[in-house]
Amino acid sequence: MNVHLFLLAALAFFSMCAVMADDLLKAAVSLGAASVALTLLFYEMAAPWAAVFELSVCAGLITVLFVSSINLIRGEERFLAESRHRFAALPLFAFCFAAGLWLFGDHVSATLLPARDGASDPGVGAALWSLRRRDILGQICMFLAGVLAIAAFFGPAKPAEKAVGAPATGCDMAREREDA
Amino acid sequence: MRSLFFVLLPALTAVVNPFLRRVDSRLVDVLSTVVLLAGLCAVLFFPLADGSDSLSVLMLLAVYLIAFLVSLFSVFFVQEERSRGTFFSLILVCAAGMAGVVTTRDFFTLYVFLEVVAVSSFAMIAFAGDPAGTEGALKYLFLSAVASALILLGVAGLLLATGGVSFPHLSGGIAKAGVLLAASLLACGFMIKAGLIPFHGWVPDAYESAPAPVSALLAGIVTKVAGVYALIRLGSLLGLSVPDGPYAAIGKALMFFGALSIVVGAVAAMTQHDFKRILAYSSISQVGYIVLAAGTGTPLALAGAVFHLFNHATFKVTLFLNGAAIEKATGTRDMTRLGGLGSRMPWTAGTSVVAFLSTAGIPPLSGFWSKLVIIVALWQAGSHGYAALAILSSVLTLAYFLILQRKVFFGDTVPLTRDAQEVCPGMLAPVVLAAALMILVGLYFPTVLEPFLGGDL
Amino acid sequence: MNQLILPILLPVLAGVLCLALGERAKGVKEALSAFVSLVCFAVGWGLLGGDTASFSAPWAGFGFEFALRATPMSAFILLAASGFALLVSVYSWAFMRDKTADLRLYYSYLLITLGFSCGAVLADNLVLLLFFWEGLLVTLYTFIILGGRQAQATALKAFLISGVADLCLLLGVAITGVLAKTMTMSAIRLPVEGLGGVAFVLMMIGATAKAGAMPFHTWIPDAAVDAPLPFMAYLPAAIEKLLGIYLLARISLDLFGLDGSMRVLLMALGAITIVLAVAMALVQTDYKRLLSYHAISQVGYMILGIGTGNPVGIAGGVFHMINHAMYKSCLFMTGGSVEHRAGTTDIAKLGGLFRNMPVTGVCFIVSAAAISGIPPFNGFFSKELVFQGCLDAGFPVFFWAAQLGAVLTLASFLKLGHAVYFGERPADKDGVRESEWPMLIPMIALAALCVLFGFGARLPLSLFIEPALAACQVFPEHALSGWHWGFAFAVSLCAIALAALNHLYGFWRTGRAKDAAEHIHHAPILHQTYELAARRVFDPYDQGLKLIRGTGLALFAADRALDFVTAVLPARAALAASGLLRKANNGLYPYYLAWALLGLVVFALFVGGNP
Repeated sequence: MNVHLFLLAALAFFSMCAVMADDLLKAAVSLGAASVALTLLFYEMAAPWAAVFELSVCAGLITVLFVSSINLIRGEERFLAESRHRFAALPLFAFCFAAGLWLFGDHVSATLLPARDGASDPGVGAALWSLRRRDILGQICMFLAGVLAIAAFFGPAKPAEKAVGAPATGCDMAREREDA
Repeated sequence: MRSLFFVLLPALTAVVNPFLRRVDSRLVDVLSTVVLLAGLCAVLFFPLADGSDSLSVLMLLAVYLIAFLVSLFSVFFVQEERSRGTFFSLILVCAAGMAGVVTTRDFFTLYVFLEVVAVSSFAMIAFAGDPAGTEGALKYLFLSAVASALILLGVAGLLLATGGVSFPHLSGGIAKAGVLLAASLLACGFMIKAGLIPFHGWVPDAYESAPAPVSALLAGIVTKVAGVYALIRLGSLLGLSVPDGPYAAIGKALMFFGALSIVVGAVAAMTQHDFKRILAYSSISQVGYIVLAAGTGTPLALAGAVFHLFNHATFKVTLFLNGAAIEKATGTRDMTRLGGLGSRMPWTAGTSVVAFLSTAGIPPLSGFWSKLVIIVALWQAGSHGYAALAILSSVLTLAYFLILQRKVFFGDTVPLTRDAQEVCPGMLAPVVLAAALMILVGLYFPTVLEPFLGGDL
Repeated sequence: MNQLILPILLPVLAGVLCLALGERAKGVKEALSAFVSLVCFAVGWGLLGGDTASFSAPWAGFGFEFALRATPMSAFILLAASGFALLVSVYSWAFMRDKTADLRLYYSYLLITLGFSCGAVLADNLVLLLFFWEGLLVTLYTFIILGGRQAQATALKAFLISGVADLCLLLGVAITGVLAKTMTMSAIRLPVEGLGGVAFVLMMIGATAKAGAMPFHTWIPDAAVDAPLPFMAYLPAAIEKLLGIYLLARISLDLFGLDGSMRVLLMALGAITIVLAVAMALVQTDYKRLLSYHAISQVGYMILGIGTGNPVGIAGGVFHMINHAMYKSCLFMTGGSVEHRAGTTDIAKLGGLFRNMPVTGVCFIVSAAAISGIPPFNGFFSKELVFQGCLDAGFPVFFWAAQLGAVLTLASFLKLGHAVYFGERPADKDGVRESEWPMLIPMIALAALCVLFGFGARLPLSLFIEPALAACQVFPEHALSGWHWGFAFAVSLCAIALAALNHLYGFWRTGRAKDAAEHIHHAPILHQTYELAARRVFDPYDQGLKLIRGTGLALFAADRALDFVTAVLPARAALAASGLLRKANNGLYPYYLAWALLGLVVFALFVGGNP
């Protein structure tokens, strides 16, 4: 048992949460958490590049997109009283998988997974800064965009009436939600 | 790292804006517009030192030009007081993202900035908050997600096959099977972003439902930078024009989809009633020209593609902004209910006609020269069929614009347009500027085109 | 300043001056016109005696020189043309006074026509000739237009018919110029074979059409009714005959060496024109219309004479040309005189006018006798020469056709003269008076010339015709004269007798002079033919118009069909496709995704199919 297995278990757990959650927002957050677990796993397995990409894309970007889009839809649609029983088999499947891992885990990790090579590992910080400086800038912009998008949808409500004949360019939806 | 300046400048302004809004809400518009104008001047007068080629410079110029025009128009167009800070910040972030896309020298960074652009435009499309806008934004978002997945896979594939994703690393056309697959994935992703047929589903809905300045920004520059610029960049790196080269197949596929978009876009535009929808289909058709040239891949064709991209940005932004002006003056975009606006709104009508003619490729306007360069390049490359198709499609372009022109601007006024007033000078300034640019670029086209033929394209 | 420039430049300048003159300048235009004609006449007279004069100036380049050359023949034509211009100017003084037409335009056209005619006969360069020739086309049109509103259709008809003929001339000139490698007329001598034959036929069409031969004649009877009468006496009766026959003589004798087949062609054309036109003249009931058909018929004699190719025939043709110009002008003037005083030219409403208008009547009798070939007037001698030429050439069939024409000519003039000047006078014509002197003087002058040229046939022949022919390398015998006993003379006398008997028979049958030819009109086969002719079935212009209209409709239908295929069908297809695409873009996200997937598949096929 090492940290690999712990991270794998975390990954499986958060993934299942993402699928089974009855709230879309929780599902999205769970997905982000799963991505973070995957990132750490990559890092542990001596793949800093993959780790950086996973963090940039999945943990950061996709989550932001999901959260903002979910917030958009929430006002419009009622949640369906959807049955989640068909996902009940998933924990069972996960248990079987974990059991298999428990029995053959060492063998698998010894043969398939490479050992961590500490000497050539530049470390996450160095990998991020020295190689991907522009990506960091891009991600900053990304978050900025996400923040602004959320600000646009959930910003201060206002009592502004639309000018006659002019197309709406304001936050009517936010206003409607407050009214609701 | 001077090119970083062009990313940082709007991004920082976007951060400052919300704080500034508390001082005076009008200050935000002014600052945003001035910053974009400053960026435009900086592109024009200070050369980029860090090895950016002329393609990047021209694209950067187009980005700042269109963003500036749209921002200037929005100053007078956007009525709401309280959310305008956010709106202008989004324009700035979008501009920062686009500047990042066009100045970067690395496919992964390009991807990240593409997402910045996508998120900010997504927010802008849905900005009005009405169901139609939300729906358009979602469609854009969903197809964009597919595109992102494809692009990301492509970048990963490039990394696996060649060990790097930077442009210098890729240039010279490394011949490996994995690169072909990766490049194909990238090309497909970019085509979705560019809105080529049959990846175009989101384009008409998003352009139609977005607020008018956003439509102009989207059609004018966003899809061009996000999809078309990336395709041109990919094409120039891979060397698509080598007849039996490893990537000739991708070039052929691009040409096919480009030609398909030209024809289908133009045909579909003919029976639309909504002013903006016509423009959306026209956009698809014109992007087809650019991609057709990009797929050809010869230096002349790539120069023609970039030149047409720039011209398309100017005339499409003019038309979308004029569409917004007409909607503001009459309250509708339905062509069948309009008529005789030429006498009521002479400036709007005049600039629209200039833009129509430029789009249809009537000399001596800028659109004629870029189309001519594309057609000549196609002919030289031996694609006689596509060249003929491009010429014939100009007739289709002229056809739907004549329909539009007759229904909206010519003829007698109808009750709806009888009391229409010309919009304020502030809203006319951007379109007049763009129309003047079309005429000037048309007249001095050799001066404009020369650096791109002699440059490193 | 060369004297050759004068007869061209002076009338044209005077014509322009006429346009500039005010309405109030009464008499100035008339005097100017007469004076300028007189100057031209004097120049012609001067040229006649002297050597061949020439003038040349660079003009349009490419060998198109402004080259003038006065041969004896052109000097003779110049003399005649300016003489007629002088007489018509004097005549118009009185005749046009009470007409509504703008006199400034009238005299301007008259003078410009004279100038261009002089240019055409003096030109020594084919292109220059063509230039003046086409200029005459314009004045022809504008002249007829002066007749008023109803004349416009006629003017257009004349313009189109002459335009087609001039186009033939243009082609002929072009081919000739290419073959001869020069445009200078005096340097051209081509055989009539191959392209040369084509060129000759084309130029012949141009020349004979100008003279008014069939089938390019149909505008003349219409113009006789619609156009101002002096125009008829001036252009179709005189100037156009002079020019057409001049050019025909030039090309037949000078520019081309004619062979047998071309001669037969010319003679056949002449004979057909004689018989058919005179047959039409016989049944006309309008003074001017009847004369106009004779103007066509007489051209046939000239063409026939030139076509014979022997000196006697050619001399006869050219002599007949000048004779015809004199008596036909005179006849038209008598017609104008009658119209002027009696107010109509319909012979059914006229009669017994000899007592009222004795001078006009005498002039009519003299010139009618001349045209009918009654000895000793001039027409008799020229016709005799033509007859003799036919016999000498060995084509009796044309001789008999010409004799038949002579019989019918006399018959129709007996009918006309009898109906107009003798017989019973309608009651409303009692107060008709003789015309004014300005109208009588030209008539008297012309009638006197008819007599003079008749009795002294030797004088004009030796003075004018022989030098002209000698210059054209045709050397007539010195015994050339219309007066000799022989077969032709005997037949001519029989023809006169036959015509007189015919008239008497017709008059006896119907009792009315105007119906004296009705028994021919209503003869079994002729009647139907006349009916068809009256319906203009034989008029190439009207038939051409119908053909053009039919062709136009057919072409229009073809154009619509083509338009449907090239414009309507694609437009409909495009709109239909566009509608389908509009429906396809239904806003459903799964569809969009499906399209994108389809695109990916196509892309994969593209890339996979071309490894």
